[in-house]
Amino acid sequence: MNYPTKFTVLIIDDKITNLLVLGRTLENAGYEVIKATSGAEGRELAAQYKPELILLDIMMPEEDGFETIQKLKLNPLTNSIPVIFLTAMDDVDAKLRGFELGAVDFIIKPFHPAEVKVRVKLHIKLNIATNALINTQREKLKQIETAQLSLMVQPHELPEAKFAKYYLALEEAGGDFYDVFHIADLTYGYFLGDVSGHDIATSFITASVKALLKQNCQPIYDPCESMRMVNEVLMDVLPHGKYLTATYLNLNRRENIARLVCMGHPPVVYHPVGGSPQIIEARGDILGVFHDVLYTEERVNVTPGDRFYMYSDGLIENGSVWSANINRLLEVISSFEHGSLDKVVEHLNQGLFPEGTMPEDDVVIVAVEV
Amino acid sequence: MNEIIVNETAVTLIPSEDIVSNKACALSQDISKVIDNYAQVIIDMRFVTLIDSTGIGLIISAQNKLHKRDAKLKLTNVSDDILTMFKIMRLDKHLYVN
Repeated sequence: MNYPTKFTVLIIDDKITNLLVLGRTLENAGYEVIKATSGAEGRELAAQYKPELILLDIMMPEEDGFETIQKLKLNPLTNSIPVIFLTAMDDVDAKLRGFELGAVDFIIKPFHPAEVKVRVKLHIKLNIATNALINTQREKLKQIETAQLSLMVQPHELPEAKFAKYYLALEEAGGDFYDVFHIADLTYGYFLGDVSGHDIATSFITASVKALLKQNCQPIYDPCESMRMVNEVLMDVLPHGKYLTATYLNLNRRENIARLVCMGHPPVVYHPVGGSPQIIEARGDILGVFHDVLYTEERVNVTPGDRFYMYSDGLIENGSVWSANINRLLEVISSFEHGSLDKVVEHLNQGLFPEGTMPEDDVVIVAVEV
Repeated sequence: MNEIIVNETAVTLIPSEDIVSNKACALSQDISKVIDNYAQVIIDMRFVTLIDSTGIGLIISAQNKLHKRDAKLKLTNVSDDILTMFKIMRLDKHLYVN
């Protein structure tokens, strides 16, 4: 990462004398200095110039330093800039309040130039170190996200599976994933899962599940048997308190039969050509927690052109549990034309999250056409 | 702030808000405090309208710990929407829910 050769310090103080003395002290020490005489002006300059550090007076007319720091911390452009309070008050309560509001230090008036320089230097160095650490961690998480994405097969890599997908991970280590794989002649498996939580462990689990699906979703096993075997292994593999919900579709295009298994996941929507979309009701245990699981297979006789929609709970969670919002999903699917799969997936996401709204959780949608 | 009501054999936890990832920490700590000491742990869900995967993970984890020493976990006053979700997940077959 490149750092500026000259660091900028913003001083916010209503007393011109303080601005001049502090400004000269810091300029002599090699800093670029910006000055503001009120909290409002200071916040504006902070957002515009993004200084490395802010020196903020507490006692100011109209907007005092406490209010200014609160507003700085609420603005994404300024909330990570360290703030040192300038104060004539040496009482513990004021200091505690300042620290609670996000100040990193205090300088008590009257200023001693050497102290000001030492404290400013120290906090700029600390901030650089913190930012470097955050950037390193972000880079590492990005690598995990990239690895996770590379594990998910893209529609153009398996065109005969006839599927489209939408994938949005809110954090780098997302818990939602899908897999599409060839099982036998004209038969494909579609799996969409959601690992509980959002952490590094979650992202490793998705790779393990993908390997398990490959091993266990074979033509000799029926879909329920496959999922029971996956569950048995996950029982030993998953960390304490982790589990998966998932849905598995086995689609045989030669016999026109779809077989669905639900593992505690929001229900799949089936949209027959010329008909209305409908929920495929299925209940089944979540994966990776219980030995005595029960999975049941729902069979659907399909015709070419019929569609299935698999999705994660983030698509319909929107402030309440997903089970409360399934009808809304059916309404949205009913409302759009039978266009291309890609378009339909896009419409589905837009229908449930109109412009200006954002999902609160990861969202994955896999649409499959018979 | 979760309310905790104790009697000789059972302890009741009443979460004051939804059991979701950014709010579940206090409940997790409260469960840890009581989980080894009572024959029955009751989580009264009267104020809970939303539970996410982290919250469900917390409950499953508590259930597994209690099950190992033949103690019980009960969820009471569960909302209809959450109950529907629990039934789809078959959680009602593994822990007592009403």
